[in-house]
Amino acid sequence: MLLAFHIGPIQFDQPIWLALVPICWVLTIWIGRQTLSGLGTTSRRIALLVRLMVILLIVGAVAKPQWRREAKNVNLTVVVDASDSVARPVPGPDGKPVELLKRVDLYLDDAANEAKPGDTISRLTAAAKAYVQSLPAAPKEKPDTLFIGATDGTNLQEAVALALSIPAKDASQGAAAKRILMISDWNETTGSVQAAAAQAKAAGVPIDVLPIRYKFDQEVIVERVVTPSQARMGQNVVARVLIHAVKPARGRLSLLINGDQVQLGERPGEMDMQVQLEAGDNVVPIPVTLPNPGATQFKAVFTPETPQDDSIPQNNQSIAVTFVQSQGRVLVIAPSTEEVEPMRRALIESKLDAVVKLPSEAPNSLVDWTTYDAVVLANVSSDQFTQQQQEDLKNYVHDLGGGLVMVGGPNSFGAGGWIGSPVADALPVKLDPPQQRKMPRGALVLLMHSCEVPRGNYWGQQVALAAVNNLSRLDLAGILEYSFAKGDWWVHPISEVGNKSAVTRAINSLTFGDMPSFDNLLNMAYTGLSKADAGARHIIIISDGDPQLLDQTILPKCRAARITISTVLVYPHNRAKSGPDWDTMRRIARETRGNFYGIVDEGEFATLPSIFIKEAQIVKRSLIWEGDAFTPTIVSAVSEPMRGLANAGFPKLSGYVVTAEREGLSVVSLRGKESDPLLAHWQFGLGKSVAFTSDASVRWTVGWPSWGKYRAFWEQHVRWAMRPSGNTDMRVTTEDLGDRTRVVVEALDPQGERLNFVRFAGRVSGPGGASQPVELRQVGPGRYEGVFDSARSGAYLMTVQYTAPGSSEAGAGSGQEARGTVQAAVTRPYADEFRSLQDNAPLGKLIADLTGGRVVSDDPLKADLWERAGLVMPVDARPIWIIVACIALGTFLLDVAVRRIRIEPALIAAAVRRGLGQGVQQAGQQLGSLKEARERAQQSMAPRSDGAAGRRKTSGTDAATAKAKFEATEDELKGAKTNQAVPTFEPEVKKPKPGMGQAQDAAEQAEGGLSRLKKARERAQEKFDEEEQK
Amino acid sequence: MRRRSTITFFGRLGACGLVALSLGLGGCDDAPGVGMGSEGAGKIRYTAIHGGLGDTPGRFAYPRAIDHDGDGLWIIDKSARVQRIDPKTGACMTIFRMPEYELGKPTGFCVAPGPDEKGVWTENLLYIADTHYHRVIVYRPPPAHVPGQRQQPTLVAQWGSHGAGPGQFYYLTDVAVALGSDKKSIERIYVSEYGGNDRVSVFSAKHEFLFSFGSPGLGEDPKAIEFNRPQSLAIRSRRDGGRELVVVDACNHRIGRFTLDGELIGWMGSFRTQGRQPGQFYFPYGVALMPDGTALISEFGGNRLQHVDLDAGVTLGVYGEDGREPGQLAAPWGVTVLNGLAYVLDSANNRVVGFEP
Repeated sequence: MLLAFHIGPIQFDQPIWLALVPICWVLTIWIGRQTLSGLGTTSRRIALLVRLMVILLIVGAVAKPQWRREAKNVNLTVVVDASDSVARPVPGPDGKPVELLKRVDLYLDDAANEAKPGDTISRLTAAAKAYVQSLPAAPKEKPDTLFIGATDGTNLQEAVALALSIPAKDASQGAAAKRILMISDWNETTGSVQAAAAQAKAAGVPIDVLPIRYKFDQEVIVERVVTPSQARMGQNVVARVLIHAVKPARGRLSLLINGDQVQLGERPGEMDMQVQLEAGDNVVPIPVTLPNPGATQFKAVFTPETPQDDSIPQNNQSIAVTFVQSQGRVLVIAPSTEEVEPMRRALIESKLDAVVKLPSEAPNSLVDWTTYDAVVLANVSSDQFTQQQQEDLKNYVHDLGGGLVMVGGPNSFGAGGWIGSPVADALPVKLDPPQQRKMPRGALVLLMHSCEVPRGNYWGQQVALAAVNNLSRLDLAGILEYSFAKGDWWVHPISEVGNKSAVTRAINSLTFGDMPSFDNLLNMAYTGLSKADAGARHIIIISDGDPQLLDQTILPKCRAARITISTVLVYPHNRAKSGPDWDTMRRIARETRGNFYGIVDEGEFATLPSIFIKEAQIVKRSLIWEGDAFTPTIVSAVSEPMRGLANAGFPKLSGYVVTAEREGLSVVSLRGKESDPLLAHWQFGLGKSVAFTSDASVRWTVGWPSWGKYRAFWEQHVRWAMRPSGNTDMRVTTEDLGDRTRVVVEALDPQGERLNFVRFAGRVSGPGGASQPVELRQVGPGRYEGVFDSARSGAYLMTVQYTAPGSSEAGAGSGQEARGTVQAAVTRPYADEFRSLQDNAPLGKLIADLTGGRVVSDDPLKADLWERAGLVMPVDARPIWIIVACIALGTFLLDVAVRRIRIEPALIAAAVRRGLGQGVQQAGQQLGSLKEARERAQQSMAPRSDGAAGRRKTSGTDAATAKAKFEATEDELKGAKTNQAVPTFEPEVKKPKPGMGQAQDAAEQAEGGLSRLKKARERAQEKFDEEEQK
Repeated sequence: MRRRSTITFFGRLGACGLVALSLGLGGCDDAPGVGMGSEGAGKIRYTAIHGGLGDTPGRFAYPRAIDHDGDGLWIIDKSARVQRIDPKTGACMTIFRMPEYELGKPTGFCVAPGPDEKGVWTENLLYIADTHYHRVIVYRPPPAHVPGQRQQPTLVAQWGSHGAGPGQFYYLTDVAVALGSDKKSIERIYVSEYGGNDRVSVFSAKHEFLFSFGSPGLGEDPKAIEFNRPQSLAIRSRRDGGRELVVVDACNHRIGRFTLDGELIGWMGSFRTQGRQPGQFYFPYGVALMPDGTALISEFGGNRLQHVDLDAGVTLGVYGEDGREPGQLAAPWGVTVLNGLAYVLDSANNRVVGFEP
């Protein structure tokens, strides 16, 4: 297929069809010479011309013609680097600090004077993520508000991709050519701008660059703190602090272990120490004793003596983590010490270091969770943990090999709001009860109004999902909102939650309209819940509190129907915790015996999901089974944690939280009523978890502490779940490769021999809970290496489970496989943004060269940012095939008309002249002469038409008209009936003699083309007869 | 002869076929759109559409209040920007951002004359219901917009504080100024509010509290006026020469007519009869008065405009339907009439639509 091409403003998308034009024209001319031969010369030519035009238009319409309009204006998309490396004041040409972003604004303002009318500008910022600041607008316009997101990174690749995605529009919203201008120091920390530049080049968009130049001459960087990755409790280790100084500098160094400052000075109370730094790398060794087990964090901080010695304070500290080994450290999280006292005693007696904490004291970081070998959650609900804590706990098990034991109670498992939580994934039972289980169910209605909350749509969806995910499949859920198109309506009518797909779809379709009033919606919720077959009925309202509620009857009606309403006031207009919005929301909750929550600050939004989870639990109390004490059924007595327990028989219990069996590798050891799982365990990622759905001996298992196997029961299950420790010696070291880290493991057996063919399964948990696998491959005798991404600042915890082959020669278990876990940590204490001591302008030049862009001038008046040269101007093409086809159709009709209507140039000319006012008299004379000529011709032909004269049927009046017509004779009409190809007219004139003169020609033309056809036929017949006679 | 005739026939047939073929092939393309729809409950037969989502001059982020000064349209959006727009071209002629907006943005205002900060009678002052700051604030607009320059209005006056007492406000919704007969003095200023203190407060030309009428509720008792978010106000000149106050009682789905002393003349619509049929209202938010005394009501919930004869209590016409296409409306907050054309805020579509009612 040929490519599209254009002739002037007309472009043909399928020009191959145009090849038909010459072919069709030749055929048309050939056919026309025969079919149009009966016409006069002028008529024939015009008819042929019209036919050719018809052909041209039809073929042209088929060739998909477009009306093309080439753009004349340019859209400049400016990408401004707003990362920390640029946002900070940097030394200017005169050495004084310069606010770069302000300078950029001034530069663009001045440069806008050079833009041409119709040109536009759009703006983006680039930091850790890229954001559009304004869509194409007049060059002088500048958006007011800037949201640039996290500034601790530079991702220029994403910025270029985003810049390419902005439609290039000119001032009249028409198409425009695009240039990209990137203003950056070109120190990118993630991504590769070169890859994006290739996309820009492919799109024909040049990238101009304006490098931001700077260089720090006075700077001190604490490069890293080096500590052993693993150590034993009480061991003396040396923390080496690596400090790089551009020029010699003096300052003080301090060291913190898990937040507690270590005394480094010689005098009592002198916590830091004086250090003298030489230009280049400096190492400061600090001997310390490791006080506690678990992950231990070292943090070194350098403070320059004179501020002039240091330019970037953010890189004056560094951290490191050492894993201090201990045996059997277990964290028990419970609502009170009494709740788990028998269990705690049992664990202590089993030589396990059990620590009991309240949920509010739970670890707040992944590093803190790794301090323990196993975690027991005893009758604690999910809303007492933040989403991040739950994510960390899941990663602790899955990626770091930790153990998790969940123990039942009224606030545990599904009854504790854990359904749909990250922790639920780690448990060996499903928290949703089995479908066939007959249980009283609850009904929950969500009334959503979060449109005026920052990121309201996001949070609205998050809280709705949190609530619904927490419901069991038999519960009922309904969602109400105000939609601009539908008004007050059920986004999801009250119905069984089921597999949650329908309600999740409904949540994703929420439009979060600006709700004027609660009146209608609360009445709808009341009506719906009144009809619902449910034990508990509850409504949760999320709103900024400004919808009206003046229907005084609805709240009493809800209270009478035992429908509770909890209200979540989010980001109200009145932040002073009073006012009408507060009053309305408080009143609703108070009068219906629900709960009221007031979330004022955006920083508190993260607690919203947990509020909804907690509120959703109000309708889920039915997940608890309580009744007459029974003896649980032993299903699996041979599994590792159950070994030896079944012999004694299990004591009775009187309650548990209903859960469902999880298919797959989960092993159920004990079952309750209707075969509900009571005790189950499984491996989850690198870790293990255990679920015991009855409680820890305070209400449902009161008799258990006196059971002879009580201590063994808890010890075996907790020890089974705990992270294993090996007896081999795995030395782990890490190496910083920029945005990646190489990890090296040297495997030795207890005798110090190198271990080969060790199998590793490792995962790395990074900042923000991001997890990634790490693959270790053997690269030498007993040496294994792997690499993982570590671009973001923060701590990276690596856990590797190993299986070493048994070898009697090596002594690693006398032929039995050796298993264990090793851990290591890598820290990136500050963003790489703060490592840059000078710009990376050559990268910018490379990008400009790659894309056909320029390194623009520092002088905005010389920069010519809207330069046209080198741009491919876009074309706006609009289909015009329908117009061409219609013209073709009209021309086709013209073709018919030309052959049916006599065209007399002389008459037309006369008419034109008459129209132009050249005298009526002349025209009359001409007409008279024509008339005279025709009469002469008729007279001269009269003797040859005697036979026909008597056959005239026209009246006197008709006779005049008939001079220009033809009448068929009766004989000819008969002939017409037998031969349809014969024209049905018989001309009243005979074949003209040659040389009859102009008047005769004129008369003949006046008789029309059909007579010519007849004559031609007669001539042909005569010729045929002659040949026959010959 | 038969053969020649047959060729001619097929020639024509082929030509027709080719035309039809070209129609068919061309039919694969997107047909050009049809700009305007039918009047009434369908799309608005618009004459102008201005704006679009954006933060640059001439564009809007959820515009919520509109009025005019005789030449230009004044619009306040949810980014707290106040813009004066050329009704023909949509070009921004003046723009400023409310000096304070962190707690919330204004939802109503009117353009009216009055004494400026120096006491000089000035034609076009902005009387803004600064909703979430519980005050009426009067500005003299800044000079014409110059690209790249930020301009600020001149504060002329402000009054009000948070509270339910006389002269205090919860959440203001609109302001209406009743001029004296000489048009060179202010007779009264009416301010509506909601949020549990739903009423209309009346102030003197010197911003002194005179009286208020209405209380929160759904009632229809003419002796006990109740409002449920009185969203818009307008001073209406009747055919008999008298004047009255029109109150759009949004969440009661009705329009109220009152004497300038606050006595009820009559309601059109009610909470009970809320709906989307002609004559019913579904969250009416805005009102604009036509020169003949009839009114255009923009329905936030109904996504349409109703042209109503308030005296007769009948609907004269319905304009618009819900949707995102040109001529359709999404949550129209306000409407104004300028030079015979109506301009409706198509709020959720971030635009203003002009049409001939």
